Amino acid sequence: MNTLLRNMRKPAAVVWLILAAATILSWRLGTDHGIFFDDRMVAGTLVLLIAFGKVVLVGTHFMELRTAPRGLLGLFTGWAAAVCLGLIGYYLMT
Amino acid sequence: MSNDVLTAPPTRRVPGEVGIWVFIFGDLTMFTLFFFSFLYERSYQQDVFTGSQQHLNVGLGSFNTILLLTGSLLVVNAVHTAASRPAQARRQLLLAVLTGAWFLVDKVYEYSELTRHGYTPATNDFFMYYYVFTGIHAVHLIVGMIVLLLARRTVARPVRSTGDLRFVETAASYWHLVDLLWIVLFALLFVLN
Amino acid sequence: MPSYSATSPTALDPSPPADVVPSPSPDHESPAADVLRSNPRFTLLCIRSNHVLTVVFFLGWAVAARFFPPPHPSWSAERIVAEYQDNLTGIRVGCALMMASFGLWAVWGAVVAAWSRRADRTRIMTYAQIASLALSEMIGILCAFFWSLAAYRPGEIAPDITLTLNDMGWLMFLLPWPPFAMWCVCVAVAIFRDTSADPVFPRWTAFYSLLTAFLYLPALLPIFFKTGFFGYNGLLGMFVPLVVFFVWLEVITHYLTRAAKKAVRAQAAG
Repeated sequence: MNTLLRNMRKPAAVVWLILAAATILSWRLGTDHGIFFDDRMVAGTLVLLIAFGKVVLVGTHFMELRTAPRGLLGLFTGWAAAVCLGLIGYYLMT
Repeated sequence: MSNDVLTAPPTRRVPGEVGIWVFIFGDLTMFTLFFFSFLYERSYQQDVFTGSQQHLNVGLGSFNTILLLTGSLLVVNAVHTAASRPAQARRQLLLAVLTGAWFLVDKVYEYSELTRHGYTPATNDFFMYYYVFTGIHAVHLIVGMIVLLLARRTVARPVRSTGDLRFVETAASYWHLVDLLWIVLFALLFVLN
Repeated sequence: MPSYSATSPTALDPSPPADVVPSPSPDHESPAADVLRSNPRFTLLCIRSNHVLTVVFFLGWAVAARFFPPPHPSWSAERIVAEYQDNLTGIRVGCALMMASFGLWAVWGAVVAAWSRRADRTRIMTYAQIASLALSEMIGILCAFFWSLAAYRPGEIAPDITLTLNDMGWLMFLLPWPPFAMWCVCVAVAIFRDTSADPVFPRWTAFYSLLTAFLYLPALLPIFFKTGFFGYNGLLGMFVPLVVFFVWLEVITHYLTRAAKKAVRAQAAG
């Protein structure tokens, strides 16, 4: 229990909370998006943005890319951004 | 236990070793092809895809996502305690492996429920992608569990070298990749419509 | 190399915890030096044969047989027969080239195996490698053989037979991916176990070999799908495994060439 409480104050645990909340948000956006938006395209775009936001958080905070050489961090976030935008673009066009 | 941040500026280092990042980006490239081919196929059969998606258990999918996120959190903590508190690190690695096992059990349940209602990989293209992508991901997950168990054995050594600790970090990076891939798969397969 | 900081990755910890020791530094020379020392020029030739064989293979597969773009798994038997009849000589010659190239790859594979025999002292990975290499070659030869057989009498026999022989060629190309993966895994393990001071292969090539083995995985899917990306003509079911195989060969060849050239220079000097 002490370990758990000590862990709760660490940044990784906070990131976990954000990621878990984002997962639930995605879930609700996907199934009940009528509540938030009439437009399912907006919901879909948000779902993709949230997913890749989670991906970047996992990379920077769990995979410790924050403290990695900038080239590696750049490559990772660059990949995430490019794929995210590409998927959103394709999704919206079709 | 100390959490001292020294006054010297932190140096940037590659998490694990360079090779695992070659692996990670290679795997990400393959999955990127998967993601785009899924959307491509979906664009031609939107109704089929949206209709089929209704049969997936999104709640369970969300729970599985959180399971893997929990596994990742445990692995992060294990990496940080591998040198100073190896017993705790070993415990956390084992718990992470168990989250993976729970995920697989859920997957088996999901697959059996779907097939029971007649939805197999041959039913339509959506289910083809669903089964193939989650199946390949499951293989990655099983490898991840094995890799974490190997890391756990490494941490158990009475004297650990810096190379050993590097291996633990490398194993952790692979595990986070598995988590990361699922995050996108969950969004594409379960939620996006 | 900064010492490993276990308590916080952002801090540079000059003194690791008491029971963490630095990794042992390599103290012996690369085993490859031994392998290459006996006849480095000949070995270099064997290594370089990879480039020639790759070219020969693609001349056969893509240029002569025109298998790029591949036929479609859902085409009718009559259509397949027509495809073969349209390019009868090309396919027959192309298959002969493919079979030749796969047969000659044994020499290249043997250099890798000879290196790993010294790198991995228990020899297990070497023997597994030799077995996997032999199987991989046989698989390659059999695909080309089945395609040749399909081009033996198209039109004279029932179209379904030609269709089946064509299927055999394409599925043989892909479904038996495990020996190829095993080959990569054995090489990866041998690279990991190489603790010499000046290894032939940098450690990342071991990870790259494991990645290649993983990327063969979708090649098990063409048996399930006759359309889409996972069919035997599919981007994911066929092209990815095909391309990664040849890229892996090039990566391994690159480092072997470097080591062999060094041995040639050393022999010329001393």
